[in-house]
Amino acid sequence: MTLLTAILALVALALVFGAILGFASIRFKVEGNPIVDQIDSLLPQTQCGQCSYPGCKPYAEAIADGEKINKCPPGGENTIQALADLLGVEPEPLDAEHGEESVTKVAVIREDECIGCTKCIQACPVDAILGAAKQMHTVIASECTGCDLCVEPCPVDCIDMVPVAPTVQTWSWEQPSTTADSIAAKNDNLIITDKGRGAAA
Amino acid sequence: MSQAIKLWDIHGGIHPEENKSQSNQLPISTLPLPKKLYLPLQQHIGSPSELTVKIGDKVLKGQRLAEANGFISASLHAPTSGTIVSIEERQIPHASGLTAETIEIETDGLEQWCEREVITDYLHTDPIALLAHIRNHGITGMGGAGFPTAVKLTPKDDDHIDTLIINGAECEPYITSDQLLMRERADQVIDGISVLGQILKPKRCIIGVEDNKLDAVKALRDSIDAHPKTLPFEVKVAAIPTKYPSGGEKQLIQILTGKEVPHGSIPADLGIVCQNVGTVAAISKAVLEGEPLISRITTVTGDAVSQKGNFETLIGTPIEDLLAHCGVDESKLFRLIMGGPMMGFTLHSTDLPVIKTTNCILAATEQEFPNPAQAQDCIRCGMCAEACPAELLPQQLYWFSRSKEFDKAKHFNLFDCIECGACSFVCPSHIPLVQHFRFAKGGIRQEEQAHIKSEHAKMRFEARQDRLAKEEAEKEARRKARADAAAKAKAEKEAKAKLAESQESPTTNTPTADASEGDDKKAAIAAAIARSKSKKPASNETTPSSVDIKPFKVASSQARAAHLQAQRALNAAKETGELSKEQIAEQEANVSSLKKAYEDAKAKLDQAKNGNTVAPAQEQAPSVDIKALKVASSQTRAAYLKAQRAFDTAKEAGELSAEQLTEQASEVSKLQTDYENAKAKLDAAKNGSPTQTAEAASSPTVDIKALKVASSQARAAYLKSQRAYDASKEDGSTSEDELSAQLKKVEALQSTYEKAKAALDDAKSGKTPASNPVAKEKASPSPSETFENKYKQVKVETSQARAAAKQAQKAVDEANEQGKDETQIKELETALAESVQTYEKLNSKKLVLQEKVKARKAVEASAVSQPKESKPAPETVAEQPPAEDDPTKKLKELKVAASQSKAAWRKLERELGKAQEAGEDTAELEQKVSAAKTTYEQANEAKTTAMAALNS
Amino acid sequence: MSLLAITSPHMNKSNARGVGFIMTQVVLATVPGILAMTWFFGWGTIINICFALLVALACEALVLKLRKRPIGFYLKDGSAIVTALLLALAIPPLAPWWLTLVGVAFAIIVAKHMYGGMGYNPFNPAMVAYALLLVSFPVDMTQWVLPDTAPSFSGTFQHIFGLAPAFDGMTSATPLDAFKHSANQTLNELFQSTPALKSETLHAWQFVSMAYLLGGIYLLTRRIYTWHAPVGMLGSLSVMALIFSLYDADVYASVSFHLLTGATMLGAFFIVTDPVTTATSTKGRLIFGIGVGVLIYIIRAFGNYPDAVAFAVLLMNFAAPFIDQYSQPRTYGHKQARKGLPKKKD
Ligand code: SF4
Ligand code: SF4
Ligand code: SF4
Ligand code: SF4
Repeated sequence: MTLLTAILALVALALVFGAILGFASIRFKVEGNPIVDQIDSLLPQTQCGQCSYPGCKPYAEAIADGEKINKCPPGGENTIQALADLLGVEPEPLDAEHGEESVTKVAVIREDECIGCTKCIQACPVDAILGAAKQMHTVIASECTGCDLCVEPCPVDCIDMVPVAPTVQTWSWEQPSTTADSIAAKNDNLIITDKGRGAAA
Repeated sequence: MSQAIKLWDIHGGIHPEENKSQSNQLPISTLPLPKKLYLPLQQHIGSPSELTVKIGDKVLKGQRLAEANGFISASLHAPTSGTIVSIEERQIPHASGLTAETIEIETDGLEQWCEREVITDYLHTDPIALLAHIRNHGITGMGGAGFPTAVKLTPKDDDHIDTLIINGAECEPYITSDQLLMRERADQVIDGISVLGQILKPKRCIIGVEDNKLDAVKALRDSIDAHPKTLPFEVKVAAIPTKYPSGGEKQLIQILTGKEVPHGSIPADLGIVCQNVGTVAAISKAVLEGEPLISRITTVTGDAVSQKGNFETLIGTPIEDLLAHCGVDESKLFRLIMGGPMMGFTLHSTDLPVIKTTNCILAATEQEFPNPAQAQDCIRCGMCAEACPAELLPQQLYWFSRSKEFDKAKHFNLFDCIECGACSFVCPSHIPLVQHFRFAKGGIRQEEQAHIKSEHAKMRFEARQDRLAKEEAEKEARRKARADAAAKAKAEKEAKAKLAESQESPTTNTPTADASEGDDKKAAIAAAIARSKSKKPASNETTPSSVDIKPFKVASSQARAAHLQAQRALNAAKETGELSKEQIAEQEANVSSLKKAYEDAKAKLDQAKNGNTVAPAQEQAPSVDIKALKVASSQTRAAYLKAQRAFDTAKEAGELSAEQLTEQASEVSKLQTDYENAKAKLDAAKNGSPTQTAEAASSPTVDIKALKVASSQARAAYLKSQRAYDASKEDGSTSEDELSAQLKKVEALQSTYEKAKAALDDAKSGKTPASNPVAKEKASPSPSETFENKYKQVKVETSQARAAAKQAQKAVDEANEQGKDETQIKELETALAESVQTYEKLNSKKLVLQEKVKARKAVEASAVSQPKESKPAPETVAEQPPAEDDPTKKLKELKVAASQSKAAWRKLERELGKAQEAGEDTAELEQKVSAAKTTYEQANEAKTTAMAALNS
Repeated sequence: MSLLAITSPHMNKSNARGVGFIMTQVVLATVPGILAMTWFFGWGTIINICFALLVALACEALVLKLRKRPIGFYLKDGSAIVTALLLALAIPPLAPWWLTLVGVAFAIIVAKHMYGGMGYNPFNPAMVAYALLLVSFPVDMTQWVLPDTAPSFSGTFQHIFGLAPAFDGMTSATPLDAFKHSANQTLNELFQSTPALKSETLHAWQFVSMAYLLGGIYLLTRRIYTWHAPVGMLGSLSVMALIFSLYDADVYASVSFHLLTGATMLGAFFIVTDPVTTATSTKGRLIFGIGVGVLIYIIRAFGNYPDAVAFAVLLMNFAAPFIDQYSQPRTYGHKQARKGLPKKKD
């Protein structure tokens, strides 16, 4: 009899709390963008396809379907971290199979070598290249995402990916080395100076 | 004037050693005129100024060198008279040590002023005019970052300025330039305040001076008492407690008014404007003396200089000169700081100029500012939080900055940090907190920038996708519309054809009647011809024109084609033995009738031609017909292609029996002929259009074209059948008979192809003699064009060959990868070699042609400049050596060749690298690479020689 | 001439006032306490301290070597010394040598370095070790000698290192301990009957507490730490004691008894002020101190252990990160202080 009461009581409790939880999940539902858009907004939109998907959005969709989050080299660690935060999963190191994180680059066409074949225009996902058939082509640097896609199709190999040089406006201080860093570097001279500025004249 | 002013306290703050007495003993002295001045175009916050002078210009003192570019910008003036010797990128005094555009002036020592604009009666001048004056005189904030003063003084509409705060706190250790200014030039400061009063109309003005500068306080108070008239509002001097960083704008406002500038707003939102004393003095100089911001007071101090003091320094003076004047001991100089020891930045060399914000040059020895100790781990002692004037928790921000948790750092108000350095100053663990914060701020800005950029990229990407989709849709729509139109036209034509039949037009009847297989399309085409015929004379009655020739021709060729086709079909049928005797007989009849029709048509054509020779060139031709023909042509083409596709799929699927296949094939070829006919007609019509003046010359071209098309089609058909035959032979499922039948077919096709080719060749060779030289000259505006056409054609072929070679290469690679058996690979490789050979041949041909074209062009170019009569004959032109004609062009070609070969070489090298990495056998690749390299080197050499030749 | 390129500020007070300086000041501030302890409880304290320092430095060096850290660099910061000193002051003066050894080794190796070393340890190492010893060796940890009955230096030395048999003068308890195990007596009876609660004993404890207070005040004047944590702790402890003693003075001890016996003063000025393991902001430290005070009283009055500083501090160490989230200062120009972590972007 006692057993029965106990079971009944527990069942009743379970029902009540279940009802409360169910109500809460509906009443306090967090409204938000669909997860794919949220993921997409974290990806760098380079559209380079290095993740082996035909663009950032498809990769976002794949992530939403359970694909790994560490396949975007242009985004690098920051993007992986952000994705991990968003999805509540552990960040993983970048999958080297898809390339390595590198400094931001911009495509530059060596204009006197360009033969005006327009192949690069067709390759550029963000329409960052200007030119007409048989005319010299050029890259609008501010629109270029540095995705590298125009380099391969160029028959005369006249497109270079050059790192974006810092200007006075974009320059910023380097992160100072910490004790742990300098130990890791086996640096006897444990003095923190600005690494980015190199030796002064 | 010195009643007590209520003061508030700020949180935190520190008391570093002041070290001001070294430099504030002597009065301000003037530096001798430097030989050179260096003026960076950007010495202020905002966009760089826009140059108004150029190299070689003589400039006068005070003359504008660059003007404000945009709202937040400032102009720049010549600090003395002299010559502009260069404008180039030079290192600028900035923490980054980066370069920026800098004007270099060689001074002439004359100090010649340009005309100065003075506003003596500023109390009755419009504030707007005063603001413009300040703006034109390049005045920027002289205490801090160099914000353009005019911008700061331009209030937003709803801001009423209540309090003007003049910042004379100078809380940084070592610096005494403001102190000296206030002590010696208090009147200037007060005049400036009265100008500001006229602009801003404040209720009161407070000058905040730290109480370690009582001499300055006294001088200011005396000056205020001496200027009662020009100050229509209350002006007070507040001696505030000495504490770093009381001179920060926000901190000074808090000390003097007790108000905090809310996060994200500016003091003007509180009705407060804050200006540095130096700026105020510069304003008074600009207004009362017409002197733009061309010099400033700079403190030179630090143990590495012997004569510490304050100097009136021209903007642009090299720091080298300044230090030399002060007796610098270079061996002791260890840290060179622009600005104060708390917020200044180190300079990378002495070869940098003084700029508008340079209040101090601190040449420190190692004893003074030794190397910082190695940072230890934060012990969370909280001393930094106690020192922070912004009431932040620096240690917390440090953790976040260090681990790059930027969102958290931002959440905990990282951007309220004024980078005063108080936290680093007190940190017992020697942690360079400020640098961590600067790094984090930069990182956050970069992230934001990257986010904006990625959003932008996304937009552009999506726009592109949309565009492509739209283009696709449009194409689709057009195709559909065309099909619809064609269908309609067809219906119409049918109707008309019926009409025409009933009218019994003799010409139209011939082919249609004979092509009695019930082919609607043929009928339709014929109807179109009939229509065009009946129309043309109608619209053009006076001229029995050459236009008339076209339809005849078309009809003739059509008839011929039909005849040939029928003949072929007959042959095929005979050979395959599929058809019954009757059928063959029937077909034979058909063929002969077609032949007759063709002969008729030809005769008519000849007739027409003969009639035409006397007729003058015809100018008018109905374009409507062309359109109709075009439609017909594309329609038939579409039908043909569809049939072809269907046929191919069927063949591939192998579902159909041989008969069915042949049936389909004949259907396809029929359609093809239809298409060709239509096209030929179209071409004909085009040629007859008014733009063409010499149809005699062009007609062979058309023929050649048609023939070419026919030939290539024939070839394609032949090859296809050959392939099919091979395939069926291999899989061995087909019976012997079938095979032999197929073989025969193949042979037939081959012969067709050969014939077509021969015809084409004939036509080609026959073309030159046939064409009237006069007409030719008329027809081709320049003799080079033919070459060019040829060249183009060869170019196309070359690229095709290259593509083929590439494909072959790919196939080989794939085969290699997939580990196919060796014979296959060998086969593929031979194919590759062949295609490469073809390509090379074509390429060399192309190059030859290129030269020729160039030669022609060059001659033409020279010919154009000559009188027209002396236009040389093309033959003579061709003999001229091409290289001399246009070296630049040639050079360009060579460049292209060089870069192409370079690209090839590089690609190969990359491949080699990959192969090496993968541990594959690389001997062959290596050979290839070296070959490519030699090619490149040769090309490059050629290029260089050409270049050298060009240069000499 | 080569110019150093480095970020501002270029002046630095920490060359004079580094971590080493802070630790030295703390050590200096314990001197009155050490003297008082020695005066009343004999040489044992000093012997313990010396032994503990040796063990601490050895352990620290060993672990640094294992962790491949520069040994000199870290030994110089003096944090191991402070940890050892505080632990040695907290355990009974006549505690056997192995007690010190185990405690110090545990403090340095486990409580400090296993959590990442200086600056990263979430729990106060000295208190972790103290709690461990108290739980594992309750008898040895509560054997306090009665004031003024301590043996001579050599006697003490022999006792500590087990070279001589135990001697008689030991009491079994500190006053707090005695108080704890006095269930059925009124306070008056208790104070009469128990040797540990005789006035001389109490007097000795009060004296020692005052000595720590003196050291604390010295540190406050040297601005080594702010008043928030000590005042919070002492204040809340006093308030609790006051409330309960007003409620029933026969059962609950007086305010001064709570403040001036046991490790209260040592805790207030040397333990809760350990910067690494407390909350971050001054507001947070005040809260931290108050929490410690309340917990001390609760454990002392209602718990099983006589003194509670170690447990109270450890419990509040747990809470420190949470306190940090809700004790942010209000930044200049902001209406409100930040609370909690940033919300996730959506
Ligand atoms: S220009 Fe090249 S690198 Fe830049 S976005 Fe376009 S394809 Fe990518
Ligand atoms: S692909 Fe290369 S050669 Fe072709 S247009 Fe672009 S840059 Fe010029
Ligand atoms: S630098 Fe920033 S965090 Fe440090 S004290 Fe100054 S305002 Fe505070
Ligand atoms: S002053 Fe230095 S050691 Fe102390 S809390 Fe701040 S950052 Fe940490």
